[in-house]
Amino acid sequence: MTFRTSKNGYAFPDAFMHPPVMAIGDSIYNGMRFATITAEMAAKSTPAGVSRVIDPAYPFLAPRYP
Amino acid sequence: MLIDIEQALRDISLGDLIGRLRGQIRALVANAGRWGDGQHIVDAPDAAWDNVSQAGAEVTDLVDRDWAFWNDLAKDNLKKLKGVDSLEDLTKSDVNVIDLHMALNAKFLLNPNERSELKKMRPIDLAALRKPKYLLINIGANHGLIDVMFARRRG
Repeated sequence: MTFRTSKNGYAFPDAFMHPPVMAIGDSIYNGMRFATITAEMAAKSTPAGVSRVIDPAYPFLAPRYP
Repeated sequence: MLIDIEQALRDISLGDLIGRLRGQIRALVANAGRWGDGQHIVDAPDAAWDNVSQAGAEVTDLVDRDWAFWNDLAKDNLKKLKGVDSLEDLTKSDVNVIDLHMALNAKFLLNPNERSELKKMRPIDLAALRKPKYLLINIGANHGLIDVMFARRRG
């Protein structure tokens, strides 16, 4: 499989690069429960907890659901 | 977002079942409109999340489906949702609420500010682009769960 790159070479600012942890998968991993998700639930997801252990100083970027 | 099934079940009243259901349908329609109106809902042009685990995701969603796919699916279902005001309207419409729920969630996670440069990015591409030290993957629970629990599709 070939990874796709962003159009026109767009790159995220340095602050977004090389986070200690990223997570992909299903919504259980993002804190969703009963088809409901909030910023607070996402901030308490399993990957957010793993990130805190690996690098306590890094502010894990959990989705900020409005 | 979109549906809070836990709260919906708490709000059900057998004394006013139809009225409560109508209220919930109206709340769903209003909520969907807010998520899907194309407005940038995160006030940071370069916003990105470290966790892009999506609602209802199966393996194929991580490696085959990009933001553009989910955006089209959301637009299609939002168009069908227009004018829906009751359970009867919803039943008669072609809206697939499960698809809409998944599409709005995926849209927000993969590309919260709808940057054109990220339209073709799938979850796996975002991880490759940002190069985390560790990539956590959790997938599999939805293979069958959504079909059996929510969509009444049985194999």
